[in-house]
Order: sequence, then structure tokens, then C-alpha cells
Amino acid sequence: MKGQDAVNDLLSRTKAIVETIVDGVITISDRGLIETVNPAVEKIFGYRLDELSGQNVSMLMPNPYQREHDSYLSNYLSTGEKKIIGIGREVTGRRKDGSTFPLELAISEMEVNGQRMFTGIVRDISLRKATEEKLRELLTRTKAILDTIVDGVITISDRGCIETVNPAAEKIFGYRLDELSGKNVSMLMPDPYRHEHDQYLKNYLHTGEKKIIGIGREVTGLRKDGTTFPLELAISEMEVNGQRMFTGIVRDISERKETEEKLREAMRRVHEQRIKDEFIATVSHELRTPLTSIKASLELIIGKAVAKGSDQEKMLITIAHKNSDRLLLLINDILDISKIESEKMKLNFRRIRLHSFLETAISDNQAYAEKHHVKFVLIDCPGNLHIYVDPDRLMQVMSNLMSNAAKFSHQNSQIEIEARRRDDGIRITVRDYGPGIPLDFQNRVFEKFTQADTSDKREMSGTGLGLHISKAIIERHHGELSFDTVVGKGTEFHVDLKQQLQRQGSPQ
Amino acid sequence: MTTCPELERVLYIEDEPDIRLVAEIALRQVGGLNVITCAGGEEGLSLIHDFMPQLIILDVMMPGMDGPQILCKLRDMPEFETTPVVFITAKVQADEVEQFKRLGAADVISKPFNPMTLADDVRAIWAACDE
Repeated sequence: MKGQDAVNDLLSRTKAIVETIVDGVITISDRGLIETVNPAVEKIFGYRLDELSGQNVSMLMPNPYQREHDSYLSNYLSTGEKKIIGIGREVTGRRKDGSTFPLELAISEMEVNGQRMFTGIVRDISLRKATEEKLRELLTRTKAILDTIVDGVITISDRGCIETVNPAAEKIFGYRLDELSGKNVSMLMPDPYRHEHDQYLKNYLHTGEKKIIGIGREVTGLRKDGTTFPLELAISEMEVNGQRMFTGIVRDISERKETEEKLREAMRRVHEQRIKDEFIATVSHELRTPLTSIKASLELIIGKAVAKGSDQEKMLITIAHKNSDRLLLLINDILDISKIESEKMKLNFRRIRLHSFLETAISDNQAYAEKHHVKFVLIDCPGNLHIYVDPDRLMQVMSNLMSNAAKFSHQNSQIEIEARRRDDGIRITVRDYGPGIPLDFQNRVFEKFTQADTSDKREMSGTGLGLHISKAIIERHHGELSFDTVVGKGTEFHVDLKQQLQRQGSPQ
Repeated sequence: MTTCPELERVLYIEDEPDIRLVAEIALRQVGGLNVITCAGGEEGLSLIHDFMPQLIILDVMMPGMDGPQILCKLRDMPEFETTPVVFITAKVQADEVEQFKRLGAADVISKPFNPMTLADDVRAIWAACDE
């Protein structure tokens, strides 16, 4: 009884399993007739048990399998040649409503009471198949996209090893896939980025601190041939089978950069040309102004518009003469500007004693002092100080600074000249006690053709180029020309020359 | 026969004193015009109502108010809104001349000018304006 109980127990367990599993279980006789089916079969094929019992199992197959099934079976029984039994395969099933569907079939053979029988386990795999199909389609599409986009796509592992690259990435870097696969992605970067990459990655994995990921930036790429190029890089992070991975999208922006550079260059040229055109227009204007006075004065004299020997005639001759001088000054200044701008101004450096040089400056510019009723005074200069300069050009600067100071000083005032040692050289200062430089003019002092307040009633004989030239001359000495001014109090112009250069030789 | 009134009174505004002087000789002594010269726009506009010039000559580049700015001021004055204005300038590039005319100048005389014919040139511009 105990043994029977055990059998009964096993039977009921087996029955419970068979009746609840989602797979269909069909047993057929060796003639192919259905003996038993479980509820899952009814559900899968849409037949009731009584519609199936005793029927040929081939009713559950579409043609041509339906017709072939009986011969398969008899063939197996006579030859033992297995096509499905014990193997399992994907076949097509046919539902009661005539629709077909993919199913996975496993068949086993058994003997019950001397009768050969077959058990078929069937699983409806329509859903799985549909999902697989969708996945395949998605993969095909993704691959097509990756194969055709112009951006390079590279995936790397969390250790920085290249896992996949698309054809664009191969083209951009000049490597084949097999040359990249499994290698550290830093091979696509030039130094110093190459060495920093592993550290970056480690640091990110450790701290989560993002430098590029999710941000995107311009970096430098290294091609197989060793050339570098600018590229735009965007990195995203993903997880595949529990592994952190990174996808990098790279775009070669050499061409874009080149175009940008060309555009910038073209704009620079246009700007330069415009400045040149403006300079020529201004020069032409500036030259024509004194020439107008000269030419008109002479034509009035020649045309006998004024009486010979009259005061008017003398005045016209004076105008012509004075403007000839102004024209000459202008031409000289314009030539200097031209030399400065074409970097053809040559300096002849010599070692000179500064004290004597400044005394000469004062005596040479005495005419300005007399004209404007001012006095130049050398108030301080170390007697033994020598400097290494182009004395003619530095004298030109001194004349410019001193004549400006004289022009803008009140009558009978003093203009002070001094020289002092400084930490890194010497400073020559020309100080006046005039009206100071107006605030709105201070940032244009060194520009070409600028003069402050020319509506001033006093005669302004300058060319508006002097300070621009002086600054250039001092800069060619590797020095600096600057000023301090207080409106209503006066102005100091400073020439700063580095002494170290003077000791070692020519600053050129 | 036209009834064009004769040009007599001319105002000339110019910041360069030497050019002012030679222009004055050219217009008054050579050309027989009644001319007043002054160094800037403010001075010129301050005496314009007393002098009532028939034609005004303006230098273009001047400190403070420049020629085109003075022209604008004149056009805002009912008595001078149609008074011919001639620019006299060393800025003589074609596009600059065109620009001055667009601003409303009757004509442009370039520097250097011929002092022996300056008055005749100004009279010709005056006559053309009246046609």
C-alpha cells in the first residue's frame, strides 16, 4: 500500500505539473494519433481536448508539414533516423483558426505497455520571435546609421579599451578596426593628453567628476600617420551587462577650423586695408592743407592780386614760407611713420653720456623756448650715467616732448627735464606746468594725426604725428613712453629705458 | 533775361588761419565780394543774422563743430534753410565729394584752390543754384 501511495503521489504531482506548465505536452501513438494533451496545448492551438483526442497530430501542422508528417514517422520507425526526436527544433504550428505560428518542439520517445509512444513538448515562441525580429531590425538600422554617419563613434570600456569603432572613426583616424580593437583609446590622442587620459578616466570613475562626459569640447586628435587635428568630442556613459562603458562621438573639425581661420584672416586684411586707406586719405588731407596756403599765396603774388612790396605781399610770402616748413615736417614725419610701419627704421646705437645729451637737447630746442616764452631747465641727472641709444632718434623724441611742453605751457613758466636711475634702468622726464591733457583725449595721445584742442587760439604747428613716432622710437629701444597728467596742473612725459640692455649691447 | 540777384555777401568758415587769409584776399580783393571769414562754427553762427550771407563756404574738417554739422544747424534755421552751402576741402576722394553733396552741399571746391578764380567759381555755383 505504501508503494501504491508513492506511485499515486508521483502521478498527482506529475499531473499537476503537466496541467499548469505553460508549455504544451502532447503524447501520440506510433501511428501519430493524439492520445493526451495538457491544457496549455488547448490554449496554444485553440482546440478543445475532445477535438484533438484520437486525431492525427498532423492536424496541428500547416502544409506541407501536415502531409509529410506521417511519412516522417513511419520512416523513423523503420530506419531509426531521427529528425526531431531528442533534438528539438523550431517548427511551424497551425491553430484551429488556420493561423500559423512559430513553435519550439522537443520530442521524446517512450514505451508504454510495449507500445512505442512519443511525447511532444511545444512552446509558442511567436512573441519571442517578434521581439527577436524587432531587435534584429533595430540592430540593422543602428548599424546602417553607424556605418553611414560622418561622425566617428567609438565605444570604450571603463578601463579605456576600445570595444567598437564605426567606419567614420576608422577614416578620421586612419586606422582599421582591427588595429584599434582592444587598444587603449589614448592612442588616438597626442601628448600630453595621451598620458593624462587614463588618469582622467580613473579619476572620473572614482570621484564622478566630469570633465568632458555629457559636456562635449574641442580636443586634439592624433591620426595613424602622426598628424594631429582639431576634433569635437562628445562622450556619454552607459551600462552594458553591468559593465560601465563610454561612447565617444568625434567630429573632425579641421575644415571648419580652416574656414574660420581663413575668414578671420580675410577680415584682418580688410581691416588693415581700411586702416591703410584711412591713413592715405588723412595724409593726403594733411599735405594739402599747408600746400593750399603756399600755392594760394604764391598765385596771389604772381597774379598781382596784392601790390608789389606791400605788407600784404610780405605776409603772403611769410605764409608760403612757414607752410613750406610745415609741409617738410609733415613729409619727414610721414616718412618716419612709413619706416616704423614697414619695420624699416634702422637705429644706430652708441654709448653716450646722458648729462651732456640732455644739455644739448636744451640748447638745440632753445628756439621753441623763445617762441613760446618758456624756459627749459635740467633739474637733475647723475653726472656719470651713460646710456646705449640711437642719439639722433632719442634727440628727435626729446625735441617732440620739449616742443609739446613749450606749446602747452603758460608764458614765462618753467619746463623741467630730469633723469633718474630706476630699478631696471633710467627714466627721463619732461615736466610742464600747463593745462594738462583733457580727459577725453588721454587715451588718444599716441594715435596718428591727433592733437588736443586745436581750436585753441594759439598757433598749433604740429603734425599730429610726433608722439606716435616718439613712442615707436622708444619701443624700438625696448623702452616705454608714458605720461602722467593732472588737468589744470601739468603733464609729465616719461621715457623709460632698460639699463641691462644698455650694458649688454644693442637692444636690437 | 534772368532776374538772378547778384552775389555779394559770402560767409567763409575755416579753422586754418593762413588759408582764411589767402581766401579772404582771393574773394574780396580779387573777386570783389563782401566776405566775412571766421575760425569756427560757433563764431560763424553768432554773426550770421547780422551779416545775412547769400552763400556760405565751409571747411569740412574743423575742431568742435565740423562743416557737415554746421550745415545741419543752418538747415534748421528758417532764414538759411535754402542758402547755398559750398564745402571747401582737402578731402577730395570721389566718394567723399558724393557724400558732401548728399548732405545738401550745393557744390564742393577742392584744396588747393586757385585764388585768382575762386570768386568766379563761387559765383558760378551761385548762378547754378538759382536756375
